[in-house]
Amino acid sequence: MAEIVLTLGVPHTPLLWTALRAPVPDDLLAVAARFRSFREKVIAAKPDAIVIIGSDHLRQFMTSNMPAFLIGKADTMRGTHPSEQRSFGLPASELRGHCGLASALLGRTQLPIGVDFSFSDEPWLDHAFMVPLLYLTPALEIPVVPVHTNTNAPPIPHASRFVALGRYLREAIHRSDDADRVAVIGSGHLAFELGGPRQFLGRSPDPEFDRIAVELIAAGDGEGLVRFCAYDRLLAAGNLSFQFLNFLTCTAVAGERPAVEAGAVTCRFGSEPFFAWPGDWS
Amino acid sequence: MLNKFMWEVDRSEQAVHAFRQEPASFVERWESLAAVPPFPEGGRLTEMERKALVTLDLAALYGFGAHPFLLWQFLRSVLVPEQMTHDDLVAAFAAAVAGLGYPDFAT
Repeated sequence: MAEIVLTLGVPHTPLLWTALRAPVPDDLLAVAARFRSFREKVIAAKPDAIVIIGSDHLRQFMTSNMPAFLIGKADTMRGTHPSEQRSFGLPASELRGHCGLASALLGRTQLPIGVDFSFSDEPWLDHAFMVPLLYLTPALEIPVVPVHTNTNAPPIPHASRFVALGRYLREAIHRSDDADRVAVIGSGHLAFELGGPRQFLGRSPDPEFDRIAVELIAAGDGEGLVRFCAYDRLLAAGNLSFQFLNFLTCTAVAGERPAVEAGAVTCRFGSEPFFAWPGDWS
Repeated sequence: MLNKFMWEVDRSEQAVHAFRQEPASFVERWESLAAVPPFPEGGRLTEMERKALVTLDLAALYGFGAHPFLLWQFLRSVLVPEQMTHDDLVAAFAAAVAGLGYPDFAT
């Protein structure tokens, strides 16, 4: 019977990796401080496994085969793709995976009722996973279970399915005896655009979206988040804002309780999300 | 197939280098190399797609409904830093796509 000791939601903007090197520019000091404080939360929670929910950036998936949700099931896995080393300076890494917990979440011999997972025995993590892990667990010492989501290639799963995924993961983690103390990390964006007219504005493409999104996360309002996250509303917030949906999963993993921290930290890259929910017994 | 082309180039150091050197011949070779590594898929582009790739016509590629992440990653890989800085590419792209709205990028 595993305990969920902590649930976090963090950004994965890959340009942070070089921009946050010392001396950290003034507009990024708050982002750096928030990552440090979230790292402290992870250390204090003493997890023995991390389930990390991140958007596939057409690295593990491609249009030749596009799952909705995929669990990476392996004892070791690669981190960072070559183009991300080239473009963002992210280090190539080898991570420990938690094969037992991954198998439990997949249902071992039968997929669970309600979530049609794909799985990969050869997961290769992109920056959606590596940026959070490198800041929150720099030694990459805690075994991970990656949950890849399709938030980038329409048709994407309906928002309600991200909540259903979180409800399922919460129940399945609690039921598992493969780990004792599980931290769940969601990786995504608030309003965000890349490869469109509103990229690199130096501010959020849609501050109103960010405000409402943060309020709903703070309230733990899973149903409200589903109503808010209609496809067209997400698209209007920026062409890759669908990655916010991973935080719906986090909200559900945390039992749709209010977040203890919910903020949008503004910087040159827009509004960076930092969300934290308490552990099961907090 | 435009998305597949950009995806295959971006994920291969050899392909990025080869495209930078000779875009036209690279595109021609890619189309003819179905099932031959390092371009395992290959495929046919439309004449307009082929021309836009060879000339790196930012407005045309965006207007075709190229996937925005793949498009930006591809452009960054083949242009930065040899042809231009990241900031220069940001400015050129903004100018090129201004007024084009949001072409549907669902495949």
